[in-house]
Amino acid sequence: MADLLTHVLVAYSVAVVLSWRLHWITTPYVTALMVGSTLPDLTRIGLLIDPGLIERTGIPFSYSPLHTLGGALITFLIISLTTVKNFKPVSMLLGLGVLTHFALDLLLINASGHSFTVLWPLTAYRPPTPGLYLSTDLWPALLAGAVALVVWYTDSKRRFGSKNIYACIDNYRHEHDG
Amino acid sequence: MYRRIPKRMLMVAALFTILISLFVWHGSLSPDPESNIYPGERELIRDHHGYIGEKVEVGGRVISESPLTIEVKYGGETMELFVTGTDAKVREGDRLTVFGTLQEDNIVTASKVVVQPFLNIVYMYLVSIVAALWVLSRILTQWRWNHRDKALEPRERPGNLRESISRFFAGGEHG
Repeated sequence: MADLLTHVLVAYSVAVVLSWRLHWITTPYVTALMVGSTLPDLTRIGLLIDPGLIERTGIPFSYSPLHTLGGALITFLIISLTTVKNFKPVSMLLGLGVLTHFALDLLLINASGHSFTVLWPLTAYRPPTPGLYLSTDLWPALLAGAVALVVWYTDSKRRFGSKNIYACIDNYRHEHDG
Repeated sequence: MYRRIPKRMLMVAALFTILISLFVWHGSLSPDPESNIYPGERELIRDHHGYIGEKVEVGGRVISESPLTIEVKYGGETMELFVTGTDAKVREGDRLTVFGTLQEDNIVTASKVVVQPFLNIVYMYLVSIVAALWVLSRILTQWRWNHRDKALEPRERPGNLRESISRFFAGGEHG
């Protein structure tokens, strides 16, 4: 797992660039994609509740499925079903966030040269990794941050014409609601 | 609307059951070197004699530089592993993951090691916390809880953080 900041910055950039084409992706929906990019790292719950201690009860247990396609799919479906009414767009964006997470983690350096079982439970295959960075490296977050800044700047330029959108909404309300 | 909620609840219950089953299923999997899944912390702590002569992939905190020793942890238990066959520069407190062959006397002959310096690990946790707080604050300022629908809904305009937190569950028309 790359550090969470890199994941979230990349998700932000992807979401904002998509919003240039898909206008329904407004700021709250950008956040939905960012949330999706954090979900596979819910495996970190292991820091709080040690799976090894659960296994002492005799039941085999591992949080690893959260960091696979199958487990992440279930996670974002549960979250979309329990938290929002507009299930379709939110689940799509959470799912896309999960995919950005996996894409970044497939590039991580690994001692065996093989990445994680991304497609489990379909297959336990661990694809070979090009080994570009470690989750403890500083530069991925710096690079992702620089890209996110450029995207943010471009986005604010693009919105320049409709910068006062909130004022427009207020005016509209004022006129129509009395 | 009122019919939809129980249906959703059933789906969520079913999904939770599947998720827990996946946790248990994955926990029962054995290493499979053919698929590049090697014995790790869990297997070595449970039965390291069973894996002598096999390839293992295991990580832990460096507790001695010479001889290079890592402390492997799983389920509240620890064991010490001696790593040979590498001239990687490490300090106590760094995290070292080794891919290599397990020998007698808790020795692993490394084919490859990955070192994560202690300060970089601290950095990773710090920026990850920053990222989590960033996302959380975006949820709080851009979404709000609608009591009628029992669901989050996007705000028309983002609020400032302090106000958003206090009004997150207020469910007002203009919150």
